[in-house]
Amino acid sequence: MNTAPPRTGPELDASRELEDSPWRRRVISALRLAQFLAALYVFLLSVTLIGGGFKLFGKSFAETLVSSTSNPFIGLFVGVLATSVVQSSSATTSMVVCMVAAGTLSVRNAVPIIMGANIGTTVTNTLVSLGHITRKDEFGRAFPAAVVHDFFNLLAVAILLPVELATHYLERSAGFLSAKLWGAGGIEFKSPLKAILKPVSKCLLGTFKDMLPKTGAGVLAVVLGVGLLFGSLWFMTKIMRRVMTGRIEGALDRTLGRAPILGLIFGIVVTAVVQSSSATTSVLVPLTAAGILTVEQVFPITLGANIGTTITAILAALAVGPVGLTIALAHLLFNITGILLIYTYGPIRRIPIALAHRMGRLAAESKRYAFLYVVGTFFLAPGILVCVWRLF
Amino acid sequence: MFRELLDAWRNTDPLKDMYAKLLEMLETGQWMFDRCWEAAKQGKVEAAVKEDVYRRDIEVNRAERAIRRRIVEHLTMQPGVDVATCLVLMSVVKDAERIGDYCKNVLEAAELEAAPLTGCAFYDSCARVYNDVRSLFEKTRRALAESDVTLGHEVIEEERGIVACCDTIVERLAADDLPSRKGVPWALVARHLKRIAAHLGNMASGLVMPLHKLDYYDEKWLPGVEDRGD
Repeated sequence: MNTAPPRTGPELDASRELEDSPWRRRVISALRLAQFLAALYVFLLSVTLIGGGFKLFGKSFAETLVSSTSNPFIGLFVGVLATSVVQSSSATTSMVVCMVAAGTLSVRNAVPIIMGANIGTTVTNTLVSLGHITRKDEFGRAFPAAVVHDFFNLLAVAILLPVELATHYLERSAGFLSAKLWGAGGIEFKSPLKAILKPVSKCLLGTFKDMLPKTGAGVLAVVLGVGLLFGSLWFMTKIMRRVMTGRIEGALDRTLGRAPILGLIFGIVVTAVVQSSSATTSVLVPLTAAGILTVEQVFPITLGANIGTTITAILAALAVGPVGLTIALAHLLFNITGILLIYTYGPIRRIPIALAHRMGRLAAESKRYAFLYVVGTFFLAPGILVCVWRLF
Repeated sequence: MFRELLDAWRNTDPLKDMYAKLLEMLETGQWMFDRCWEAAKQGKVEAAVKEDVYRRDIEVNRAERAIRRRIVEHLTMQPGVDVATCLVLMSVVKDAERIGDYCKNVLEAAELEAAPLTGCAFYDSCARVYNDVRSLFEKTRRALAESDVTLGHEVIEEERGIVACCDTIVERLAADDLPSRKGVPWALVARHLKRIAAHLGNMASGLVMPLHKLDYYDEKWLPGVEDRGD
């Protein structure tokens, strides 16, 4: 007895004829574009609200926060912990941009937080790799693919944080670039963006101030802003994934196994478009688990994702001003510097790869190492160090 | 490099790409089939022909790996979509690859017998089988390209006939007094032709049979064993 056969290639055309009609496609594309722009507007509005909310907290709050984050290692661990919890470096870095723009955080103190956010965001693909934990051979491939990103970020921070503390090269070069770009007309979105954001944010902040005391209004603005930030980021990522999945899939197939530079560019473009480094890197983990990719092939793509994810903070900065742009550019420069330093020189490039393989072998042999690694690196160590600092 | 980058981002339908590649594999398989039969007929395997056939087989193997990789990528990027189609594809691409291998085996069988296989009593039977299998290639390709279930059924029916013919040839060879030097190559050729036809039938079953029953269209039930529909 034969039941209906599975749909094969050309048969798909017949069944998708209505779905694929040009008119329907245009309408859907237009709708998706409208949805994306709406989400982008909400994102920029949220950034403005958060910045406005922090301003309402007043000078003493800003001074407290600045002194709290004056220890760069605490800033680093705050960045790691916060990003690990929310699982979005885009959200963390966007909030840092808001706080810097509002004067609540200085650029100098924000740089280590941004570095920490780079580390914290890799928890997502590490958690994805744990989905393969019951199959030793797959897990032995998946886990290194996830942690190679961690080891790169840790190595980059280990090298560049001391350099930054000694020279403030990121703060200075980002500040220089920001001043050049903001005033040069190259990113002259200030007027149109403020024109569409200011009325709404002013109305909302005004309403909150009428309802509540200043601090309360600030809290409400920040809470609402954070909620809108997460929601809009999630929605933008969802829309762009839906729109771009076919192209991304094709691009991945065409760049696989080719020159690493193509992998890097793939990582940059996909992450910038989808607005999520986790979305890019977590797809690589199951492919590596299946043996389709190797850790060596995954590595440049994850580095590209590191760069691509900085676009979100840059977008946020467009809504809040040049100081915000400085920290956003510092994020970009940190990632570019890290890649130039670590990836371009063979012996150093091999370090995170070798560490990832070693960690993968350990974790495949005994799964407790995997859990210890995740909990320790992303939650326990940063949390304990932050608490200890606060106590003493 | 820039053109490469732009090219990488063009929008494509992954299933269409995979099916196009599968049909290319079949085309290559048919080319190999024709060359190998010619060599078997003439009893002469030229080095250039052998190299050509082996190169094409490598292409077929690469195409199989490329399709399998693409399937994994597709299911990873778009989980839950096209699962059944991808599983069918994973099965039929294996059959397409095996066809290439069996064509090579026909060539290797021809190398065992230095004299031409024409003029032998079994040549006509084998030649008929060759023509039938050749026609089966065309029909299978068309059936897959057009997703033609009726044609798929035809392929399966014809494949049954070819299989029976090949079995008859081998039985007659076994009963004959032909020296083993002549009999063995012919038996092998008949066996390989049977396998090629069977794999074409398996590919057609991808159109005709439910997913969990792929390749099982010819299962003969033991007497007394009920068909449970599984």
